[in-house]
Amino acid sequence: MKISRNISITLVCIILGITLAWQYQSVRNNAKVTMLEAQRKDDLIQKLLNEKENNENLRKKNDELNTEIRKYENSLGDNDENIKLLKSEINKLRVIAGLTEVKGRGVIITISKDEMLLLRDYDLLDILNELRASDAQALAINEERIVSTSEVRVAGGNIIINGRQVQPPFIIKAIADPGNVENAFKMMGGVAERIAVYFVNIVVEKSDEIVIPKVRDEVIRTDMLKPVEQKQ
Amino acid sequence: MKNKDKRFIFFLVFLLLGAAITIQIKSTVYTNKKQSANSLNIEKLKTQIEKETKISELFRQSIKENEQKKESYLKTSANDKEYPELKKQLDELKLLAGMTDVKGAGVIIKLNDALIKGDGLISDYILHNTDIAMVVNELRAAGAQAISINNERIIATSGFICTGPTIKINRNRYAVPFEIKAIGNPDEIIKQLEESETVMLLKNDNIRVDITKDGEVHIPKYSNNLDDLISGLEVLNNENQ
Repeated sequence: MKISRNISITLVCIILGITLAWQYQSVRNNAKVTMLEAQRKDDLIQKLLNEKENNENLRKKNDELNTEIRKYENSLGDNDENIKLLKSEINKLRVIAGLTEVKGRGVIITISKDEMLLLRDYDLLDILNELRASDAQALAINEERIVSTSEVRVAGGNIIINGRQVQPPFIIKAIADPGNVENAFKMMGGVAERIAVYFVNIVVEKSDEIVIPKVRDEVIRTDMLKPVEQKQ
Repeated sequence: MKNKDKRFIFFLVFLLLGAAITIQIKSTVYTNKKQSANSLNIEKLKTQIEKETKISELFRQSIKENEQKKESYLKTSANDKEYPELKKQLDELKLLAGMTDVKGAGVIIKLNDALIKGDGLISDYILHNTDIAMVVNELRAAGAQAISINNERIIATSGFICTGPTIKINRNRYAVPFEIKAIGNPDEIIKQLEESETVMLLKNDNIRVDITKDGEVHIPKYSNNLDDLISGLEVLNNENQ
């Protein structure tokens, strides 16, 4: 009797121990699963937002093409009109490629520095990126037009842009919405604040008449690019 | 052993058992509830994403057709004597402005957040818009003639904007991993990258950087609205009028 009682108590205790351990594991596991699911949900929400925004841009592009096609359809059969459209297309591309001098509303940013300090290439890059983020349409640093292949780098303590040395002070011109640019630069922790830490003076001026030169011919290189044939 | 002791032990054992069962049931019920709510949401999100993907497919298809239509309309004046010269100019400018799909020798760079986090802030181990800007600048410094990121063609005014967990390029949003393609002299580009502070710093933070040479890199054309690029520009001295 006594022995069998002791055995039964031992058994109950073993079962209880196992149950407790198993339960502890399960509760922890459940918490983990819930967390992972929430994470996955966040990721999907992000993905959905991205897709939606990207689709909005596709819609815009498609609308633009539709408008252009309508223009072509209206002038169908009219040779002069067609040549005119072709020429306007060419002029548009010349502007996009930076082959024309352009004028518009924008900002002039002047950066001067103390003698002792070097301005680093990434400070200029930061400013350029901030201007691009503000939807700038044309950019130049010390009259060097920024095109798709323009680099900003440091060599021997000098800043080189488009393969040419530029000397401080740096005058960055941008055709962009001046309000947008001002907001971007005044933002807390923004680029102006970051650069000012290095005792660099940065002045942002708005102007209604910014003139930006065209790119120098020798900057343009496309010899390594082969057009991909369009499959019709 | 006295009977009293035994009862006490049994009491304790069953008390624990009861508590364990209650906690277990609560946890399971809670998780089930949460999970079913979440999976409902996740299903909803998935269908919505699918819907958006389909819309994007439709737009892409329509854009492609429209572009072909436009090409064919441009040809309607082909018998004009001015046409061949103008068409040649147009094609050259398209190549120059990034409006043509191009191929050529170059490199492909894959960038992804760090897998192993070391000391310091988590933000040190993820890719930022400024990192992308620096890498693109290195490519330009090495003479790259065409650059794309996740098949988004990089032009003069392409900015990289930090939008939380994603980076906005040409108004479109992308998340890691990033695939940067560049056409140019592969050896020069690789040399420039490997000697650069940019890549050194990225590797130092365990950011995954994978650079490969490629004999034929394909880079798509700029695919966004063009009026947004020039709406604020007034042309001066265009000698091609």
